[in-house]
Amino acid sequence: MKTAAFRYGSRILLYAMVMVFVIVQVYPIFWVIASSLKTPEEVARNAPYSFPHSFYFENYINMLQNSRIPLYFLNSSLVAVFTLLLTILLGAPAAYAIEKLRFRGNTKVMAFFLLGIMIPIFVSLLPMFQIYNALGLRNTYLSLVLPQVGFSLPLCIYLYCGFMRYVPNSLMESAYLDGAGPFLVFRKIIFPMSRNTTITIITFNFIFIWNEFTFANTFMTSSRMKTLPLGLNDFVGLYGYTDWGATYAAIAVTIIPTLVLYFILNKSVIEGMAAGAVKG
Amino acid sequence: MAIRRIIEPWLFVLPALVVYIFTVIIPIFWSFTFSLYEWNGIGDMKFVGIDNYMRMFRDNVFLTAFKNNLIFTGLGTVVQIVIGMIMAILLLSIRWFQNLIKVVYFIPCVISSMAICQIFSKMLSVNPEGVVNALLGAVGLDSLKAAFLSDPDLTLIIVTLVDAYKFCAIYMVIYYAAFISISKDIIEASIIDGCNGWKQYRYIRFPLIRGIVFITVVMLVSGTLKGFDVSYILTNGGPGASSELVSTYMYKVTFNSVNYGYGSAMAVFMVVECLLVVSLLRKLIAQADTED
Amino acid sequence: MKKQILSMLLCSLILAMIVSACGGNGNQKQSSSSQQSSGSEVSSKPLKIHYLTAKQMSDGAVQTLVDLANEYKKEHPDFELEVESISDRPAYLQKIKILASSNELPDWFDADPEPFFEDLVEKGLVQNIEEVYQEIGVADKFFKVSTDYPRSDDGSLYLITWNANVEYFWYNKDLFAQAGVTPPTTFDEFLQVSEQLKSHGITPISIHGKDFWPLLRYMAFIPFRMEGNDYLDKLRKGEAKMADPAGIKAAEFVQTLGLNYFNEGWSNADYNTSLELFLGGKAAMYYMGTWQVKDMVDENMNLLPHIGYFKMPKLSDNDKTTVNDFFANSGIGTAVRKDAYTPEMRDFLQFLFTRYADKALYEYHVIPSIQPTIKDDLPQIYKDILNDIHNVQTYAKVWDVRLDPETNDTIGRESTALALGLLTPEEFAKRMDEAIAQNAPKYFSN
Repeated sequence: MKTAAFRYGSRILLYAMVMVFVIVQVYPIFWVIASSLKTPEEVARNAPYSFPHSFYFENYINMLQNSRIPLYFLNSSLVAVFTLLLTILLGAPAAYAIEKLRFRGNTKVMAFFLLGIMIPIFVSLLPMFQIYNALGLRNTYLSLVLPQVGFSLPLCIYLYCGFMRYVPNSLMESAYLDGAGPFLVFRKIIFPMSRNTTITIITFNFIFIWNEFTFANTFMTSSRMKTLPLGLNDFVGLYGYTDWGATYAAIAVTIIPTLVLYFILNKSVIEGMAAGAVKG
Repeated sequence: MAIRRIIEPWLFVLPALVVYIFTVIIPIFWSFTFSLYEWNGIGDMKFVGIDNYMRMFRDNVFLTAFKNNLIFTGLGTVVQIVIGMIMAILLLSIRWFQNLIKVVYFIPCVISSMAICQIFSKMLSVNPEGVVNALLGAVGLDSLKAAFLSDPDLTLIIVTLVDAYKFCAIYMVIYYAAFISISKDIIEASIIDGCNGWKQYRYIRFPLIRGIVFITVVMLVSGTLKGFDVSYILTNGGPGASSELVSTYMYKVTFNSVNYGYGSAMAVFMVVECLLVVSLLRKLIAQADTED
Repeated sequence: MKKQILSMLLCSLILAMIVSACGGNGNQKQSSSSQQSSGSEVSSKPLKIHYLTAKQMSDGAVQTLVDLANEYKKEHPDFELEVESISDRPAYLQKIKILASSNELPDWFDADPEPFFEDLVEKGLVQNIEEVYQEIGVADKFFKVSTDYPRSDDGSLYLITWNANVEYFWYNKDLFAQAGVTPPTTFDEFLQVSEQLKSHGITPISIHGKDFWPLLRYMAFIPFRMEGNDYLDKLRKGEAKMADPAGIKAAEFVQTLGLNYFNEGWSNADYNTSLELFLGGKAAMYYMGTWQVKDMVDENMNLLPHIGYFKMPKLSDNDKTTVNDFFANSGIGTAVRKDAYTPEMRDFLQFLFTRYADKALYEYHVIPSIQPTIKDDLPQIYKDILNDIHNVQTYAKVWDVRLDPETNDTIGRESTALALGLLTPEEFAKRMDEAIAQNAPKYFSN
């Protein structure tokens, strides 16, 4: 039998490990905020890991004056939301059809989509640019959303298929017997059940969309349409001299809302999942 | 009625297919076409057949990048799965502040790569002294102090670890969600049977989320084979080509050197390479599944 | 109920997407090229200039332009200058190359006289600036370097320049005194000075390796002294080789510096870091252009007491170039798209060129490409710099601008490896010669 001391000790160890990870993961944000509060001299002269001497808010003011970070944040958010929404709207039904509706050629379609998992998104940069030019689609949200949706679809469909394979057909059959059409079955039964997968897809893709730089740089020529990663480059100077203070301020300002949002969403999501588990 | 049954499924699939073909398939063929030419964007296109491919296999930088990428993928996949798993288990084991800690763990994912690379660059620097070197000095390990990012033997590992650091929380989230969805009945039954603590993980939880783990392997391998951000921003592939990856080299060839033909050839290579790797993986996974 | 809300949300989102798609489209059309003149009206026709710049919005030259544009607008309400800035150079270059390959070049855009731009010139896409200067009558108001540096190989001029820079070796007088050395006049002395500094525990040279161009300057010095600009001109076409004496000497020099005298961790240092190392007194010498002089002066624009500078040393008495020949340039230039050059634009340029120099220098502390009026109270350092700019005879051409883009990529990578001791000078030369042999024919077909 494990002694109380052993259990107590392992609890302490557990929490210690948790804190170690917390420190490691939190360090960047702490560093960014601390650096954003340093004067340019402090940033340059003092050790990078030192604390600022006092709160120097010029960086934040500079940042807001010289660039439109809030606007870029909005653009990034819109692109992310549209892309994720479209990916799920297109991918989930497709997976459902492939896995559950058993039509002729469904394995071929699946394989066709799977080709895309491995393709680096750069491949479509130049062709997309030429197509968008011809269609006059540059400087639109659509120009960023479309390719990212296209490239997220394969994994999305793969994941949904993987999940739906394990949904017992009996569930569907009873619904059919009740007179429900396939779309209703999808909407009311299958899709809610695949909540986990949906979350996985959203989490995974959100990060890459949020950080995406190359496409935004190519397709967005207007300052008004820049996304965040693009906007952060506003502070890089002519010969390479970067205004890091302003950059850090910009980053600090954009992390907070993202994390707050994630925090809120997370709560409801986890509760939903735990509840689902109880029902078994 | 019968016709409807045939058409219906296609209606589900069609929108996805259209977008996919437009944004993925057509560009691949387009790129494949480019790869047979030599073109700098504004001059004339010159047909060169498979010259670009021949050049690729003789290109030292490309071969180095390919080798680097394999190491990056192998190491990165293992590290991210292990760390992600550890973090998920930690999360499960604590009783308070789970949500807060989860969000905190997720922070590096949300910070732009530019910031993370700048942070690590400063941490690892030697002049001015960054945290790492300062710590080494403080514990008396002065001899280990070095300009880490200038050491060609270390840069690839550093890039791999920084990349893992940034993205591992994604897998933590996935594993955590998977663990939570294990039906409580099963857990309770196992506790009654005396299966507790570590044993429970080994015999119950891990096996039950096996499918998810395999899927994350596929996600990681496909993601790391295309890895770009950290290598490009932190070390720019250097020094020399010691941390160059296939996609960063392809990017430089296409956009710095403006050699669209050669760059496209590399893109096609990446596509084929990834196809092979993922097919291989899926076969292995299917085998493992049937061995149950 | 929930589902209805959800579907309404979805519909409105999709609608929003479509609207924004159209909205964005409309904006794009608005900011495209200036309109063609429709007839001979007395009133000025609308002139909208979309200027894609590689400089930061806060750059002195850009600010001057914007200010002057606003002034001009008061008299010409139909005038608009829209500046779009991409200050990260690789991102800028990538953008302009893609725009070029889709025939979407902006009215004004920044460029260097490098092979890609030469291609654009060859295709007749850009306006001949020499003609513009002559039309307006300002050709002789520019510094010689500002009109010569951006010339193409055949001597034609297709770029407007806004700055004039010279490059010096800045040094810390205190650190030099500590080690008991004086500014070197030959490269041998330069190495001795570095050695002396090092033996006193002082980092001799501060350089940043994240950009490749500083290292390429060090590579360029010796060949420039030995053979002037001829070596580079021949090298880039493959007519001269890296394995020639000039090239090998250059490689050896770079390797010696890299292995012994650069700041530790230089290959990963960025611009800010190396600048700060010098300004903070942690390194003795720093090679940089006068665009950075604002950091070397105090509030009264006088050179800080502990900072001095010396010019490019000579190699020997048989040098082809003298001490008055060194690196001077005019920063990145601006090209005008051929069909965007209208009489209205010429009028604006005329206005611009008369006002630009003094405003740039006195209000924004930027050394302009056009000769400013020298006021008496202009601090000495600026007078000296302007003097040097005026007197430069043969200015050294910049390697990363003259070499073709593919070789450029290679030399950046290999020169860093060379300076870190990962390659011997001979291996370096071999790789470069192979790269040039492969790439040059594509770009330099003459």
